[in-house]
Amino acid sequence: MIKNYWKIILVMLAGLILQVIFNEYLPVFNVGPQILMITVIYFAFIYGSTFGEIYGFICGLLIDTFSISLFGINSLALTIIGYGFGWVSHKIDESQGLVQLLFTLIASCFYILVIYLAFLFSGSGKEITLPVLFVVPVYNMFLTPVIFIILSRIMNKTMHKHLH
Amino acid sequence: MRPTIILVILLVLNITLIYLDFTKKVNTLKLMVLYVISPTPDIVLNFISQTKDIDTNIRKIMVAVQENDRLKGKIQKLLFIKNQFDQVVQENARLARLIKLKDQYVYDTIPAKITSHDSSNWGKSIIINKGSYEEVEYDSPVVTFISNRVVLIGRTLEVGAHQTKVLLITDRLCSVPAKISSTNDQGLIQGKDLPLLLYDFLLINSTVKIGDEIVTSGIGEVFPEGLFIGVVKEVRNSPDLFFKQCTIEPFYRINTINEVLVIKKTKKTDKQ
Repeated sequence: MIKNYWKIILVMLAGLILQVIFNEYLPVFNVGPQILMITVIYFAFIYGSTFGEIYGFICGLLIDTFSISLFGINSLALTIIGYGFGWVSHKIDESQGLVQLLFTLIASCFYILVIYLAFLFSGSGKEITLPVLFVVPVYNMFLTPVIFIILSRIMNKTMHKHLH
Repeated sequence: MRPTIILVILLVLNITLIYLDFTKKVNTLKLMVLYVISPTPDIVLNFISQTKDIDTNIRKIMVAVQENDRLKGKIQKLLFIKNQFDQVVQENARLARLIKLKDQYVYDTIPAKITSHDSSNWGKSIIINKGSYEEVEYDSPVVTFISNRVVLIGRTLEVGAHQTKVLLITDRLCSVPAKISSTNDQGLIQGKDLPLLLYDFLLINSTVKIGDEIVTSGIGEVFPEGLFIGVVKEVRNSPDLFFKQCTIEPFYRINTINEVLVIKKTKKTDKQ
């Protein structure tokens, strides 16, 4: 049973604010990290598919609200990520740092792919450039351990407890 | 509810949102959400924008710290120079006063500066920077001016080429024939190796009282008459009851004197 809803809401808002700040002030090659996506991965690993997809859906809508891309596209991507990683969490040792980095890489690539497809079909949003393709996944992977440690402290949850 | 069913529902919802192209239609919602949460990012972004120049500021602080250190060093140097300057100004004033008084004095004098105190016994003797080359002679009285008074402080004891040892009147070896300024009652001042002097051999019927000023009597060849020595602090009878004895507080305090005058044995008028 999930407790501390208020903590999750705070994490969501803090993630959104940090994402805005990183994009605005700490961009690398003009792109920033996807902090909310990393929190989706964390919660999906911790609480499973159901929570992961709902959390991803809400986070996606929040990003959609702030982005100029097609409304619902971020929500779609994060819902799938939340579900997929929640489903995977029962089958792998997600407490391994390397696994976390690998899954962040996969999630980042998937996210970029979804945004790119939305751009192709609707013409809205922004074009995927080479920096986005290479820098965003690396930036996300760089931040993942830090964000996971912070979230573990906040939520008092460690991943190895959920390994089946 | 199974996660897959929820996923399907959410995906349908997402696709509906995308298909119905809510991008423009949700502008009101966007504005509302932005309005609700805008203060938070604003505060954070303001903070960030303020700290954006942090590297420049840190560099400025480091430069300021270095400059501060450099300026502190300069201030120390300047303070040292100012201190020296103040001392020179004070010395100049003292010397000017001394020269002025010296001109008024009937005896020929040699101005000298105290270079050191006797390290073996503070207060018993001093060294001055004038010697036989400057015509300082053995057993010459050494005086200073305090409040326009010529105050005796001692006599020359060892005369070198350019420096002289002065035996202070507080030294046990130093005796000075003296009298009470107001009554002319004569006696002998003796050093006690203390800050106070003993005024001995006053006749028993002397009217000496506390507060009387003691000056040199001029008896003997060393000290001319009228040099101030000190004031009476205490009066008592000698143990044999033939004389009165007084405790005298000297006019001078040796640690406040920097310049002295050595009185030559010849008067100015004698020379002329």
